[in-house]
Amino acid sequence: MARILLLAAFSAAWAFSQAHLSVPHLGLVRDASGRLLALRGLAGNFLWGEPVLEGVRAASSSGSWTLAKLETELLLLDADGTVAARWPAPPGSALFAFTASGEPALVYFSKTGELWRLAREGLQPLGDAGQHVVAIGLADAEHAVLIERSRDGLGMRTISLVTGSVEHEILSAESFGPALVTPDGRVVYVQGEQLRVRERGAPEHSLPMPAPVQFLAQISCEWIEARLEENGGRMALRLRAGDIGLYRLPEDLR
Amino acid sequence: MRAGTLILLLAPVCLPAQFRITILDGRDERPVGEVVNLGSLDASDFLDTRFQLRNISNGTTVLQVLSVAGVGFSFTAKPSTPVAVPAAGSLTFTVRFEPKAPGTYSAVLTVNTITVLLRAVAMAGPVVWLGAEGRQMKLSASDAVDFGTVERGAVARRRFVLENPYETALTVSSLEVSGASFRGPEAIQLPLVLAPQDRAAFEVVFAPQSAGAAVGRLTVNGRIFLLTGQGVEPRFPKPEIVLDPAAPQSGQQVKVMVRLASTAPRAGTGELRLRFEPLTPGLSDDPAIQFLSPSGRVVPFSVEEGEQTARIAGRSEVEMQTGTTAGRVILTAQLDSQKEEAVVTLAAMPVAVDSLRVTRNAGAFELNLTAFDNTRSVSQLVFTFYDRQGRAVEPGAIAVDASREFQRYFENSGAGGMFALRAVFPVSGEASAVTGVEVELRNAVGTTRSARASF
Repeated sequence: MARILLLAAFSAAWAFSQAHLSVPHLGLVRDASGRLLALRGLAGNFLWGEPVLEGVRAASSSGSWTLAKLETELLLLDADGTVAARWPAPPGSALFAFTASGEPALVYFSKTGELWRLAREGLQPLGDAGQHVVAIGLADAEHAVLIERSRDGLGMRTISLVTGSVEHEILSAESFGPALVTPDGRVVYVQGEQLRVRERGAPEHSLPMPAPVQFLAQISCEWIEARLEENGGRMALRLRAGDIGLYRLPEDLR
Repeated sequence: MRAGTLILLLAPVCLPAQFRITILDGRDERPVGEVVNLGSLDASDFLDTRFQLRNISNGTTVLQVLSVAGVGFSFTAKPSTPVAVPAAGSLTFTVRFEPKAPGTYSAVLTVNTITVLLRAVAMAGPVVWLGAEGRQMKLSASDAVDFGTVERGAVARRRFVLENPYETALTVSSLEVSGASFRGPEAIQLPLVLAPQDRAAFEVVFAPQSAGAAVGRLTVNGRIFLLTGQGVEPRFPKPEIVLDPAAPQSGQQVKVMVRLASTAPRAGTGELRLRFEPLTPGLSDDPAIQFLSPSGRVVPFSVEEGEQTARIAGRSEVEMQTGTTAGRVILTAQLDSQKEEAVVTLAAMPVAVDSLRVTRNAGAFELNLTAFDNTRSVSQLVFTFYDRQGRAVEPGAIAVDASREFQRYFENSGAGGMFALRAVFPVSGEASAVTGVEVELRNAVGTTRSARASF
């Protein structure tokens, strides 16, 4: 036996005094009418919760935190949907990024092209990121990743948050669809009816989808929502080390 | 008294023209003279003529005599005599002319003291028979031949026979079938000359174009026979519910398809329903057991003519969540009167772990586990932490009886058998040396041991 003590073992009263049972919470998801709803459940078994917010232009969730853009405000919500912080923001939609541990990290305001860093001190400007950004994320603690759409397809710009140096890379010359950068730095993008997952140091995965993907959103660190075109419904993609699962979400969002 | 009554009854009879006789022809009323030409008809037909007697006197008149005398003439409906007819009152009766052979016929119709000469002509023409040999029925003009109830897309056939019962040849110059749902005559060539005692058969086909009553006409040398039939929409083949995977468990998403036993004879819509019966009586429903897109427990589907697979929201299948409660999911596909059930048995199983994650906080480990127990009977949890060398950390396996907490949770969660467990373990010593954990969960079926989660 190792010489480390788990104190709980000595306390008969521990039982469940320091434990908590609840319905599994995956994250908060924005529906087409701008409501933010809790998605509960586990792989293959999903339930929608009640709406926690309305008038949402864009949202992204790491599971433990959710960033929601209202028309002129940026909100930070905890896992229960309670507003933890709020900042004034330019009108329009926004993109968000989280750290690998699910902490809010970056926000991009689509209308102004401004990229901001979310820190304990609040919002810190990182400059003008341009108008063609479709997804943002963190490659690591010191590098932001911007996915941009152009006539040449999807490109990836990596910006050092320390030095400001920039590196460009072609992500896909054949893709013009939505894209997303996960909190752990994986890049997910759409090519035709395939969802492609690029992970540093690993072969790119390709996942056939039942219909073309219209939109991607982060539900939690592990889960991504893929909204399908032509009323094809919503899929949930689970990204875990060495494992990608694809599930369908219930259509009725209450 | 009796003689007086007789005199009273006979007295009006002696009065001339107390009845006016007319022929009723639909809504028309034609006065009758001393001679009435009833017209001509085929010798194998009969002709019914409806007469009316109206009392045109000021008092009651007794109809004492009503008779028709002549070969081929008879009454089909006549009042019993004597019968008193009040002033302005009327009686009706029908005279049938049914000749036995071609020729000119006459008869005397007597109404009390009034006599009318009835005349009619029977012409030679083929006798029309309906049915197969040995079970034939002679048809008269205006007879209706019913083809019964036939599904759209199917046909019913009736066999007709033309017969020449006479000593001279007959020519059939006109033989036609009309009506959108009727066709023919089949298996006969025109013009047709029927030698004496000769017969010729043909068929008429009823192929309904739509649901509802259908009417047509068969015309033989100008004689018209009604054709009737009832079209109905064809029955759908039996629907079959196909699952992929065929024997699902709790916590899965299953593809559900509705396939017909054969191609659909027409387009139509139906419903696919599910209901859930938990294995343990009294357990609350599991709302996650539902179809997903469209979502709910009832989804409509459609079938197109000529196709075998139903379309559900434009797709050939709909996904269903099996939820996290053991029991039976009863799926029912209903397409018109056709109904099919499939039962999915979700067997009770040990706890299924979905995720296990541990994070280090100051002086403690926070363990987050998501799982489901489809029996909702979790009793004991056992946590075992490991160091870098894979050795169990003191005090070894930490067992917790959590049955009451889980029971309370499952009674109130409204989320089936799924749960998230967050447990904090205070730790002393070199916490960084602890790198893994395993969790055992026991329920009514057995014990599950999670994969080791590293942290």
